[in-house]
Amino acid sequence: MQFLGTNKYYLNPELKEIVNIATAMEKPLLVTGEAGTGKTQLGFEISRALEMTLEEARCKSTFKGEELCYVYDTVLRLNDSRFGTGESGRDVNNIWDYLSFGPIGRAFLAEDRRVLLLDEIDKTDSDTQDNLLDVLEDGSFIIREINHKVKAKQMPITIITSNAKRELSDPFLRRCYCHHIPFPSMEEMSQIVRLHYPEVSAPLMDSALAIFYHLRQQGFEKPPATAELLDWLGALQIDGAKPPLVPDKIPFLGTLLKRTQDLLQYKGVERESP
Amino acid sequence: MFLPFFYQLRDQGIPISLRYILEFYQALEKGLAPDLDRLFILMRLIFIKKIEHFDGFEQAFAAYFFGAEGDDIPRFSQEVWEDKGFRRWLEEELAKGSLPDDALERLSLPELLQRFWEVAMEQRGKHRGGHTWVGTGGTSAFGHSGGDREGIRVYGDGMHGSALKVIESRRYVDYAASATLRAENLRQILAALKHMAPAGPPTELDVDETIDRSCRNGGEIELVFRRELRSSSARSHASSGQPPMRLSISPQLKR
Repeated sequence: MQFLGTNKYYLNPELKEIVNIATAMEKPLLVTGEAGTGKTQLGFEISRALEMTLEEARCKSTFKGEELCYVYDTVLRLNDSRFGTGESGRDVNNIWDYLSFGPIGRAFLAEDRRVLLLDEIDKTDSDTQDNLLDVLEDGSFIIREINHKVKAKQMPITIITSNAKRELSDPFLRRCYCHHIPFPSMEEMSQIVRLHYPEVSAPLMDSALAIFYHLRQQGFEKPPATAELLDWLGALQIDGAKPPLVPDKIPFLGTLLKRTQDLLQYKGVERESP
Repeated sequence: MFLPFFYQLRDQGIPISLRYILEFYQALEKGLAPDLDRLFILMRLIFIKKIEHFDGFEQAFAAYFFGAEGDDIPRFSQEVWEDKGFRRWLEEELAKGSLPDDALERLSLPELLQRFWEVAMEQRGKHRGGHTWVGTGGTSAFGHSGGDREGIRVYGDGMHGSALKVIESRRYVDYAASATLRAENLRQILAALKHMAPAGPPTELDVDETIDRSCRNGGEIELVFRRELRSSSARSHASSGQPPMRLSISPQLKR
């Protein structure tokens, strides 16, 4: 089974090899990189290309490791035992009616192999990450309440993304393959743009890319990323801008630079900064 | 196989554990490294976990698998001759005068390449304190012996380029632990800083305070405890308005 990329997502050949190796070795793949380099998108594209169901876990800072595996609804059970289950068909004596499974649990229980995407794992605290260590390694977790071990029938293809806001602990890193996606070069970027805007003319794209990379070098607090470039090109296309674009008078600057400080810095090069 | 290379990586400060090596051999058995390019990717995935080690690994790989050993220089195909990095180096050398002007006619390609590798090895040696990485002892499995090296570099379908080109582009040099503070690695460094704040019950013995109090007591030992420092999330502290945190720099930045 090979991941070959899809028609909406530009896949670096190096990344393709990496995904295939991680899939063959059945280890999770941790991708880090700047915002807008397509980390989350990678998970979606893999599931589309290989036609597997995607289990997605958008990690928030309040997530506990167990929630991702399963949730035991104690309150509902207590309510049912007092007021009866009515027509819901639940049986108070059967705990399985009150267990619902999170993304990891569902991926493990499925008969077919699934793609598991743990998005932005660095938002959770390190305790949660450590809790996930054993789960990821063994491919199983234990439901505490009934001491039942849930083992993965087929190890899911696990993609973990991180924005590198906080460092991940060493034991965590040891259990996955780590890859850092560098920011696309100009050639790669032009291919990415082509996928989204096939009709943009070459001179417009060249001059837009030149300005984009020039802006990235200026040392702004929030340099423009891929998403901003695509928005900007969309605006330029709708507006019907003609090349060449002048670096001093960039139209729709607000799509590229989002911080006030950056905009002021860009506009007032000769003036004193406030 | 490759054991000398692993020891070289360790010498560079890249942590290699036996577990990775076993995993690597498993991967080899599965046939995941049919050519040098894939071997490069496979090794990097298995052994390198932190971004600051990426560049070091790439350079060590280049030196071990492509490096020169004495008079045995790699013979590259025409492609290297057309390579931008190589040409740029040539132009610089000619401009500086370290190569005579008619060098291009007089010296053959192998001789030029020999110089290129010597200078490159020297430069890298300087950066790292003169540590040489050219494999001593065991030869690489892909052979310095055996004539034509072009047999090794089989390109997979649609691979971006050979591993050597990837290494040459040095995309990760900014993230290496020895790099200076720059915009590119600022984030990486901020992520490495740990926020330590006192938390939990006072269970840690405060030695200095204990000594102080005991002395004041005229010798009666009085134990003083303080709360442990634990790393905590910056956000929760900022929002709850607690007293300022003490920052501690993790070891890798102390270099």
